[in-house]
Amino acid sequence: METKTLDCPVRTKEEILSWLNAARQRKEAWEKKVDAKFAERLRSKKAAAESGYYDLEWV
Amino acid sequence: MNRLVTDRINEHSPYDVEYDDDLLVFTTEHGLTYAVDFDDDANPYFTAYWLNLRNVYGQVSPSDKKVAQTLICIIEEFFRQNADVLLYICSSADGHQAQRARLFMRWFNGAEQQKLYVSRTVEVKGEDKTEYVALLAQRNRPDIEKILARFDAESAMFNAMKP
Repeated sequence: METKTLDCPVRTKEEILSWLNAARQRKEAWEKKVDAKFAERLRSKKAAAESGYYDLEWV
Repeated sequence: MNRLVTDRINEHSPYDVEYDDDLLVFTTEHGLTYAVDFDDDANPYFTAYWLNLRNVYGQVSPSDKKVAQTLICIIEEFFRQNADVLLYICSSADGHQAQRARLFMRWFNGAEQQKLYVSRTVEVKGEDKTEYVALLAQRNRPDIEKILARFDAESAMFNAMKP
């Protein structure tokens, strides 16, 4: 798609770099949080499997 | 942001996508699990969200077109529910941002997607790192030309990267 001549303000290079830096930091924080969440889930599953304990249905 | 409807995603998605708390999650036939999320952007011009994608166990990923197809189904549902702009910044892990940027755009530059969406990418060289940023928006937005013009003008300050 072709673009028309811009008639609105744009950010400075410094503002764009600051914006991207903030986005990068938020993304990395999100990745760490997700990694921790799934690592904990994996640890719990492994601990349950190694304990030899399984839920039994009452008969 | 409006919550996505997983039933709509799963109508065409090769992998079953489910919510896990606020994350969209799917597991591939190779046993890899991916998490997807959308994060508010802080640009001063229009409402936008950053797309986050994570291979949560960090397992080595074989080539799998179904991952891309699933991601496209999620993005299409994002645009059905939210008339906003989507941004993507490539992960800098292991220094393969450039390859990830090209892969992401190849995923989204299929013929069907091009009818409905416009995409732009830019390589932004900072002092100590290079970021690869992609913008996706619906082609029929009334303000699409202004959004693209601004993105192009801001991209021109850096080294442009061809999609």
